[in-house]
Amino acid sequence: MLKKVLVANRGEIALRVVRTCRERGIRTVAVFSEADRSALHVRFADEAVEIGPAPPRESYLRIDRILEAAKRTGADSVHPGYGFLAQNAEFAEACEGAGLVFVGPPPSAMRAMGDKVSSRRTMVAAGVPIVPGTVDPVATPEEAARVAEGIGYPVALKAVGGGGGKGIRRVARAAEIASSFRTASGEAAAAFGDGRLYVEKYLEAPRHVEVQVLADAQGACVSLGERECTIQRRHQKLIEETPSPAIDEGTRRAIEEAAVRAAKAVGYRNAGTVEFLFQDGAFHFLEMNTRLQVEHPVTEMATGLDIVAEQLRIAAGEPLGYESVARRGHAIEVRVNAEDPEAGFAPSAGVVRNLRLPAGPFVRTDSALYRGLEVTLHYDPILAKVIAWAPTRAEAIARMERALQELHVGGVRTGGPFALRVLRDPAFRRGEFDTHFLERFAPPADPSREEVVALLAAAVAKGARERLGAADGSEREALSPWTLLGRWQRMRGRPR
Amino acid sequence: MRFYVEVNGREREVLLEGEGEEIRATVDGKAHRLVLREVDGLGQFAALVDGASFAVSVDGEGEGRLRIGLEGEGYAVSVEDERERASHAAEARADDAGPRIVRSVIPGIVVALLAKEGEEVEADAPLLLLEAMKMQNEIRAPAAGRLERFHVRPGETVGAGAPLATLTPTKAGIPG
Repeated sequence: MLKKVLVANRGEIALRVVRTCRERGIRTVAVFSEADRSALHVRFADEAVEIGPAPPRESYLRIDRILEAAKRTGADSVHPGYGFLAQNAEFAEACEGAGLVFVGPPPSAMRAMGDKVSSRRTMVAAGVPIVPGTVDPVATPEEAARVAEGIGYPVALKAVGGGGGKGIRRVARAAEIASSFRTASGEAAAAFGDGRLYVEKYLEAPRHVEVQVLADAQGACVSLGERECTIQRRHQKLIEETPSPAIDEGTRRAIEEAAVRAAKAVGYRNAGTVEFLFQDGAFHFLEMNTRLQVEHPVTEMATGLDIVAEQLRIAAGEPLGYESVARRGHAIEVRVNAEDPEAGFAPSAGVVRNLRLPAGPFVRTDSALYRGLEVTLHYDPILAKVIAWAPTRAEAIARMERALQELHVGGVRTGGPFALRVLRDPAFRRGEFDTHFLERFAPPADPSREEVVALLAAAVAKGARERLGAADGSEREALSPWTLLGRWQRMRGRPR
Repeated sequence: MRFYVEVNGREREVLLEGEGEEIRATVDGKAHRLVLREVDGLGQFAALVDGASFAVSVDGEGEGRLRIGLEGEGYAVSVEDERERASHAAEARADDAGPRIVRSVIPGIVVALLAKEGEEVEADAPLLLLEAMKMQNEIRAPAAGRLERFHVRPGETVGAGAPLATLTPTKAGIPG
């Protein structure tokens, strides 16, 4: 068993890992940047080491400082969370080189899945369906045109070095392919240092369905079921659920078997997610995320398994000990990001003082929010994940609606209200959507509460004036940073 | 007290009577009874509107602007009382002639300055380049005029609402 885990991450996922460790009697070491000195993941860990200034490049991406912190604290293992170094094979190797157990897959599996070309080739060999197209990159516009004729337009030109939706260009007609090839190749060379492209059938209205797998060091690999992550914006998932409302039992069995074959084909170990595009009843391998995923809690809610605990057991060399995992009911997750849906989802920064988190039956909130948290632009915008479970999808959606009505994060803008509107959309409720859903989604503002809001705002303004009038100079000063009145009054002076 | 409250772009006139928590009100002439209690001094309020109960979240955003959270929705609200309305109108008239501050609507990093201090710029002329979410956004002049000065330098991180530049609009063509 692992005795002391260094958590090489921050925010809600670092806290998530720390929580499971504490439950299992495993000690934890948090690492943190200057900006995160008061963070919850630091406060709830057993030990904590500062590793540098706020920019990730100088702290959370510094392999040397993280290994130094592990050495100094006597940690025997490292959990990378998601993002930062989680899919960095050099980091996994460096951990192993320093005698630390890396709680994740072998570096070889990360590399095999990290390279688009080799992973497609491996998948074809393993009998995992891929999106129709070339396995090897094409060298010239003429070759691309020949392949495109074969599979039919529209096609997608994809950068070998891309991923996560980056470096993809849709080509609708033969007339466009030569110029598209040249610009896409140039962009890919600039962005990824690799101008090679391959050609795929462009799926017009796919859904994103992924399968969570666990694989142990003894060679066993088990599917924990699929997740539907189709509601996304610019490849950033917003709402995730399990099971998928789009696939039937036969497809479910087939996609889970394909995911297990994919993982086994690269010698996978630990928790991983195989992502597929699903359209017209067929699924196609997209990529494998060789790490814990943001949306893992929906699978935890439906299976009753603590995936982080399973990761730690696997990393310690324990066998899974089961061949299948039963699932029950429906789970749904909403990501609450610091962003402003009214301003094109621009990132939002500020200090969170006014905070109300949802709770209640079958609602789980994974967040590192606290009163006084300063949200900066340095890090991932995820502030919280709200997860709800219920016996049926309709009940889970209703439960999530209720939970989001309880949520308030003041001081920054969040996507919470926007998610609520998605949950209420009739097409979403019917389960009818594809990955372009949010591009077309523009519900009108609901005016039914505007009169009440106007009344409340005026009453708040009146109360603020009365209290300001009653306070003397020193009281005003004392009130100023903490109360609504003070903040409001202080900011009202119009700088000239 | 009379307030002018704008919610989602629509203005309503709110008249409030009574001291403290219990308030008699009319919104555009329609009568309501309101009890409003502050909960924690951090922006949580308990409200009864004509007997209906609400958990209300309030965040001040400066210059009479509020953000009201109600049942999971967020409402951008601006509030003026009669006196403020009169003085803002006077300021607006004075502003037309005087310098105006161009602000950032989103937080980001200044990439480059695209105009020179002291230069006359056209309305909509690019003033500077701001990078947010890995996308570059041109910040443009809200009116024709003289660019007095920049408040930021390339490489600087700015928050939403931060002053970027001061512009004195050209007087010609401004009514009143």
